[in-house]
Amino acid sequence: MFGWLYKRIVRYYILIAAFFAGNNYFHKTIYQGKLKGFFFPGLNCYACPLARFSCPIGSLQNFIGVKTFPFYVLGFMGLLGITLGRFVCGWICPFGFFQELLYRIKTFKIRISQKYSYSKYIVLFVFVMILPFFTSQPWFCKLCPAGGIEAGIPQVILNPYLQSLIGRLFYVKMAIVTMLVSFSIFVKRPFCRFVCPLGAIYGIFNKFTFFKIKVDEKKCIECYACQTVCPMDVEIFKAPDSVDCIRCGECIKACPTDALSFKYSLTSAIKNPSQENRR
Amino acid sequence: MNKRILVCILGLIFFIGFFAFGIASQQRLDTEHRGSIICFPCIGIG
Repeated sequence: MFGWLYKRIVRYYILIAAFFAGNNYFHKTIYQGKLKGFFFPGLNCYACPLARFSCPIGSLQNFIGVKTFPFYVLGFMGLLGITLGRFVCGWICPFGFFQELLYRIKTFKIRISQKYSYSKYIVLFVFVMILPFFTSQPWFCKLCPAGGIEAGIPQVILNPYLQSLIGRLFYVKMAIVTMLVSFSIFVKRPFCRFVCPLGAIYGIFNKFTFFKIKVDEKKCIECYACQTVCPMDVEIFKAPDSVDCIRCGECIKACPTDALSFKYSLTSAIKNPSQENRR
Repeated sequence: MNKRILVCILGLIFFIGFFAFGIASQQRLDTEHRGSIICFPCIGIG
C-alpha cells in the first residue's frame, strides 16, 4: 500500500516542494496575507518576510507570552501528531532535510547515544514555555538556527537596512548556526534529535499515532541495518514507536528480510506482542 | 476496548475540540502578530 513511500527520491522531492510551498523568496515585504493565519507543519519563521505560513513553535511562544491558552496551535499540533506522529519531521521540515544532506558529506562520523535525545524536552520547557511566559519574548525564535539559515542569512544579505540593525544577538545566532552546520556533517540530524521542540511535541504522539512502523518479529534477524540507515539513529526493531522515529521509511527499504513496513491503524506496531517485553 | 484505541480516539476528539475552539476564539489572527511589526527574532534582531 505504501510501497512508493519507501523511495528516498520521492521523500526528497516532497521536502523540496514543502520548502517552496512554505517560503516565498520573491516577496520583498513581510507577507501578511491570510495564509499567515495557518501553520506550516514544520519549523517556519513567522516573522520572516519569506514565510507564507506561521511557525507553530513561534506561535506557541507568542500565545504563552501574551498569557493566552494556545488552543489553536495545540489543536493543530495534536491533530497532526495523532494522525501522523513525527512524519512531518521526515517528510515536510526543510531544516531536517538540510541536516540530512550535510550528513551525506563523506567524512568520519560520530555516534551520540539516543539517551541524550530527551534534552529537546528541556529546550521545549525552558525556551518555548518558561522564558516566554516570564519575559513575553520568543526566546526560542531568538536562538533558532532554522530561522538563522532560512531567514537571517538571506535577509541580512538582501536588505541593507537590516545590516545596520544587527547586533550581538545576530552574532550569537550565527555562532549557533555555524556550530549546528558543523555538527550535522558528523552527527545524524543533531538539531532534530537533541534540540527541536516541535519534534519533541510530535514525538510524544509517536506512541499513540495511527501511522506506525510495523515490526514482524519472526522475520527480524536483528542485523541493525535499520539503525545504520536511520537518519535519527533509532533502533527501530526494538522501539518502532520511539519519540525519535520520523517515519521516513529508510529502515523499511534497508531491511534485508522485509520485517518492517508502514502501517496505518490503531493496533500495536509490533506484530508479535512478545517483543513488547524486550523494550 | 483496547486501551491504545481509546487513547487515540479520545485524543483525536480532544484536539479537534481545541482546534475548533481556537478558530472560534479568533486565535488564528494572533499568529500574524509578529509578522505585523518590525521585529525579527528569526534574523536575530529585535
